[in-house]
Amino acid sequence: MKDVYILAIESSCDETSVSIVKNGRDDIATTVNSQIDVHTLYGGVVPELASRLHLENITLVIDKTLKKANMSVEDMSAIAVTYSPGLLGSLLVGLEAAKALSLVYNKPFIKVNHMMGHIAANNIGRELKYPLVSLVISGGHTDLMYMEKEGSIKYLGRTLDDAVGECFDKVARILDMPYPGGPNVEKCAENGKNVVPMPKLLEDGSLNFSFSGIKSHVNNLVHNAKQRGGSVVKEDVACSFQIAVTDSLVSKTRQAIRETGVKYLSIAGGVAASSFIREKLTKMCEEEGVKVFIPEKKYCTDNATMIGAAAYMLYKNQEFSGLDVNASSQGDL
Amino acid sequence: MYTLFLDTHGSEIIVSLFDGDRLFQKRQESEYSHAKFLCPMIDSLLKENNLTVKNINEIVVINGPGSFTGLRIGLSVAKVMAYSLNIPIKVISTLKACLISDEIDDKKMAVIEDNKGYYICINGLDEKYVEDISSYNDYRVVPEKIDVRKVINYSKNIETVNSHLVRANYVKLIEAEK
Repeated sequence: MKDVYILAIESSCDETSVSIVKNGRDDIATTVNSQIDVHTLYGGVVPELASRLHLENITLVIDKTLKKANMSVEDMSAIAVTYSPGLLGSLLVGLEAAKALSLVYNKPFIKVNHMMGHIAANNIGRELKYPLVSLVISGGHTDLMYMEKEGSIKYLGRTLDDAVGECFDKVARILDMPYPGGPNVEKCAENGKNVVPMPKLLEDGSLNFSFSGIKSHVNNLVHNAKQRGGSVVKEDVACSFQIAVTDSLVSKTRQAIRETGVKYLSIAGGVAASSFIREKLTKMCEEEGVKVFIPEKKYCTDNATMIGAAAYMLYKNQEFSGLDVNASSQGDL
Repeated sequence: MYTLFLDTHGSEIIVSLFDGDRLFQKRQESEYSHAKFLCPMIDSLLKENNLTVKNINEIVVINGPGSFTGLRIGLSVAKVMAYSLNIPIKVISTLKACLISDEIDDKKMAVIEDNKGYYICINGLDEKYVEDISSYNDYRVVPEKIDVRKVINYSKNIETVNSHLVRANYVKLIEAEK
């Protein structure tokens, strides 16, 4: 088969990203324009602002990527884009840009689910093995899935309230740390001790998660200390919090592996960029005799390379879309 | 050669092709689903008239004020098309387009209402956002209607923008910036 080059666009949250991916495996060129500095000023992503910045940057990011690859859109086999889930205003900018490219160059158009993109990040530079359990941990998701083969998905469990990344961001805010919370909590935790009691996270035998209780608990700790005129030891709270949340991720994932009897685990999503969480999940997999796939850190956070990797699976099955696709803020796989 | 004209600021999407003489046009009512319609409208307007994107040599796009999301849908398509076809692109304000489209040349103002106030433009001068327009009673409000021929003809006097620099004319600041 002829080499397949896909130009992929991702704009579901606060990163404008464009990538050219060869055969769903090779990252030929990728540009990620992060808006993090702007949103940090407001303590989190401001959706309207994110949409405005996507529109300002979209052609620049496309242009930069094509120049890096020294290719033209003419050389592409298809155009792919994230259409769901995400911030509607943000998604629409990338979606319409991709349609315009598809229209101008008369190339097949592929709509990609962002979560499938996260999972497909594990295909970059290598090949995922099935059947597997997939753990997707990000600012919007905490999902455990069973995948018998490529593209087949069965939900095993998910968060009942906050996503794990969202919980990290909120706890960071409670502890007066800037956005984004995950990396800041992790850094702070390095100098702390696991001495602050944390509540038990959801232990109902299911594969679901719950993180709102521990978030409220941290909030109460800080609030109570303030009322008594004191303060908490941030490092210790961060450390204890991170361990409690990670323990929950590890134990539920271990349970999912045992219940399904798989030999492979795929971990993906922005929270998978956390060294602490990567290390603990990897250790668990060694204990269970399971091979773990975790993308390089740069492919964990939002990027278009993973969208190109996921689009390739659809390309192989000729699953193309019309130009009438609308964006959708929520979308299960 | 044709000028491609796009307007997505309101609930009616307009896509037109104009060669200085003939005007091909599609209009579509759309409530919160401009993305479903816009690109298919461009595609079918070209095909129905036996044209391709290669027949477009210029883009004129309405850049606001209006629905933020609607505008971004039109502008994203317009700037990516202009960039990839490497053709000139011009932007024109919704309010100016309404003023140009109006016949009579007297004391007139264009008004676009949203849920909290009004975007206004008086005699083609400054555009602003106000919560109350009762102090502008001397002016005749022009209909919120766009005459594509007139707007494209007028655009001959506007300068081309670099496609990378095409932005929406929001007029209003967002809450977080205030």
